[in-house]
Amino acid sequence: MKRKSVIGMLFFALVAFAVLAAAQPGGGGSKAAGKAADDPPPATTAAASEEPARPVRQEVDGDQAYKANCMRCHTAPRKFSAREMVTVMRHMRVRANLTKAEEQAILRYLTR
Amino acid sequence: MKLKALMAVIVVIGLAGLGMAQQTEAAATTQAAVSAQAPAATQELTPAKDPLSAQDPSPAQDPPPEPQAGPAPLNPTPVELSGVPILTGYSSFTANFEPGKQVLGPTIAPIILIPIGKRWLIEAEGEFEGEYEHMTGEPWEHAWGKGVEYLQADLFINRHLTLVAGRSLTPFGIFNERLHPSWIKNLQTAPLIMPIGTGSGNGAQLRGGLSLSPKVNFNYAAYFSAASTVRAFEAERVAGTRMSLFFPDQRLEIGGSYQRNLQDEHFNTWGMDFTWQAKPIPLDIHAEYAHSPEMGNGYWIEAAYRTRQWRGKFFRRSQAVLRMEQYFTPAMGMGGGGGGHGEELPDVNTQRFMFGWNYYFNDALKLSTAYGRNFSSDGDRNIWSIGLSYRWFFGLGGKQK
Repeated sequence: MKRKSVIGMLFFALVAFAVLAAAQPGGGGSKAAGKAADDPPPATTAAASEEPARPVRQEVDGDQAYKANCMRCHTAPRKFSAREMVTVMRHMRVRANLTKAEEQAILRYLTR
Repeated sequence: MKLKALMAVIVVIGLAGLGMAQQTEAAATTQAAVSAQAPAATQELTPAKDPLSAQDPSPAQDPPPEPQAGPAPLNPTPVELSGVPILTGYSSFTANFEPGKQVLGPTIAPIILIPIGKRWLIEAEGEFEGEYEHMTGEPWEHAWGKGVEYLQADLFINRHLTLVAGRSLTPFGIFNERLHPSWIKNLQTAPLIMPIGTGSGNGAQLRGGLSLSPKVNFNYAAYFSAASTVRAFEAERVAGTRMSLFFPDQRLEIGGSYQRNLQDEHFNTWGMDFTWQAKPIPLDIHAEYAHSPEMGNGYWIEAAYRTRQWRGKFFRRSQAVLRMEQYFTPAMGMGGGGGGHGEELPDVNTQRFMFGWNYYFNDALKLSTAYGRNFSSDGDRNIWSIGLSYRWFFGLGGKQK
């Protein structure tokens, strides 16, 4: 019973953290990530801007995602080719539970 | 009953992932269309530059250079490219010295990654580990262990959900899955509590991550493993989950793990983990706690400080590490000495302090030295270790641009 309650509290704490964090307004300490969320969608060419306004997925800052996700476990990798990096990032998406947006942002960042 | 509850959690996570996919696919399509029409505006790609060039005085853990303004290339963006097979892995040689005992441990761990299409990845890691042990007054003894760390197929179902099938590292805590390779871990000596929880399992996982807000990500993994006594594929029948919240701005992750052992005696194991990377200074903190009624409980906390802000090439490439850990044997159950990973839990309550110094020759080659003091009722003793680890990499896709 005691163990069950501990596990339940752990799960509840995780959910509570998530709700509180999600409910917080942007700004404050948030820099790149917050900026990405607060700013309007990036400018596009004239052809693209003629498209009717539709919701655009939030951009993930590659620099921020790279530093936050990769470097807390290991050292910076050397430069690989773009196609090799595609494979490496697919592997890391599984290992580090990255979202696809993070995977692509880091991939772009490391293959500039 | 508990197993049913766990399976329900797995199903809910899967449905949640599928639901998120429906919400995001339309937006993603829009984004892809905009990106395809205006790559210059959205990608801001710059000419390639090696983030770890020879001019960089402190290669390891230094981020790539800041983006520079420049014309966008006409080549396809990297996210549109197909991956190529890769053969990588690491090799290491460690020597551990304790009073009356010396152990040499050569290890080689090849890893192969084979991407298939846009949604699949086949990946495998083997580990060949030698142990040459010498006790004072006795001849050297040696043995080689061979095992498959993972041999899995990954199917990326959507942006937030990946199905993993085959033999996989168990996502219990952070050390087993993320930190155990010798080129990654800061101290070559594994934490005392590492055998709590299983190393690898044969079965399936549902896992992924999603951004709850710009300030917080939610990561999850749920798994089931069948029992196996086949050599190199040994596993126990377990089911479990790990969930964590990751705060990118603070570079802070707090996770919780739960595992139900379904083989022979049924019991629960749970744990918590903590990772924090300080922004103002190059300091990394990792910590784990694990509790099992059958195998005991304990924790480790480790701080690693890169001295790259200090003057001199030696310090710019160095890292100081401090770890404290404790293990407590269970009041009942199988007691100390058991565990997976080919390692054993201590037989008695033990605490250990370790101090290490790492030197990075480059991003792939690292020299590790450490000194520790072990305190337990069967005698206190010193532990010395020195090791060299090298991460290697071969692209198998021919000459790449």
